[in-house]
Amino acid sequence: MSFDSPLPPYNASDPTATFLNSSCLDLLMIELVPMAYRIVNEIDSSDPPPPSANPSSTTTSQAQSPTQSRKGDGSLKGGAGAVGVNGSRKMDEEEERDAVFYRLEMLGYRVGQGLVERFSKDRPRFTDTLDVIKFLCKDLWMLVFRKQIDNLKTNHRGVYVLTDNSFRPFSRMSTEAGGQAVVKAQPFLYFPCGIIRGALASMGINANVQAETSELPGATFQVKALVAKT
Amino acid sequence: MMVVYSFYIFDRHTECIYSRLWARQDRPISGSGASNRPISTSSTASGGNTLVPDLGPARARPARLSAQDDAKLIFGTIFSLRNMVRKLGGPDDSFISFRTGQYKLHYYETPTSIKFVMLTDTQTLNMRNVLHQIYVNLYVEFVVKNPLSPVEHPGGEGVANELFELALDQFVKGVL
Repeated sequence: MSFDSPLPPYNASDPTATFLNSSCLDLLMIELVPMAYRIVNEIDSSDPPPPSANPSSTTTSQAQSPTQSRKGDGSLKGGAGAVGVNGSRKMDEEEERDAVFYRLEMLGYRVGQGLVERFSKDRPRFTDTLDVIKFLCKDLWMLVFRKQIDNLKTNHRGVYVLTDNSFRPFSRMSTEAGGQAVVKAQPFLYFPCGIIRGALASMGINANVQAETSELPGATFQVKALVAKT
Repeated sequence: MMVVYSFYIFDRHTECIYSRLWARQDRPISGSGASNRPISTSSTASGGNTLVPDLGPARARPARLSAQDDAKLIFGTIFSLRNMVRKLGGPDDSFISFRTGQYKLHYYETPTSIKFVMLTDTQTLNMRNVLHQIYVNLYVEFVVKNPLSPVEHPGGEGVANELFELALDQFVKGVL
């Protein structure tokens, strides 16, 4: 860890680049997921106004949101148990997970779009979809996760499978034995999915992106290009 | 030959969030001696030592305390010592270690009020650097930066995860 600024030669190739301690990015990405859960639950709890709209009911929903603060990733139990008191609609785990997915994925989408704008300006035009995917695997992944994708497979019909054997956000992820880390790791893939989709979209490729992990710290992303780039 | 007996972490809310035993301290009378099987408990487990040697009626020594009581005793001790040190030596002075006939207790407190305590044999030299390393390279990496570990650790939640325990084991064995 260093409080020193990197010396000038490091951004010689890109003078507009500035440096940020990677721990900042790591911690921010870690906090994204619980934040998405909190937002989803808060919105849900205040969504249909309670039939007796008096100050006491708003204070109970305020009091409940601190209890939904970050609890590992057992925030699923926070969501399921939320807001029974107000009589508002109780969200079940599926809906909560979908809402969180939507939020994080759209966040990532915007980030991916911006990243491509910023970092593809010095590159020649891409010839086809495969080139774009390769740019994603090498350059974009290097920018965001400081490493490249380890394995790329394609069926040459618009489906690409990207495998990262030691996905950075998973490198420090663990629970006590039997803690179902793989299940809890799932929400941390939503934001990177969005980044991929946003990056592809801003290069003219509409795609569907899904991610899964079978064993920490690996992660697999499946990209289905809907419209082939001409 | 350095022996590490145990290791504790206390958070800023004075709660024991992690405890780990590697070897029992050798009691002169005890026939069970040092058991080298690592026993890891978080403070919520009652995990007491069940092997209380058969002590004769003349024995005044109390039976081995449970892990939880151990942690509480230790915390009380270091808390008082730390405050006394600051009062006597000024706010910049810090409590580093104390030694008894059986063991030496090493202490390191971070600027965020996380307290690391390690009990070793009496011959060990200063472990303050070791505790600092544990904080920087193990605790920060595998607990603070663990996405699945909460920000606060009531009852030790999120601290005793696999990566942290493995790394701690390796580190301590490497130091010995």
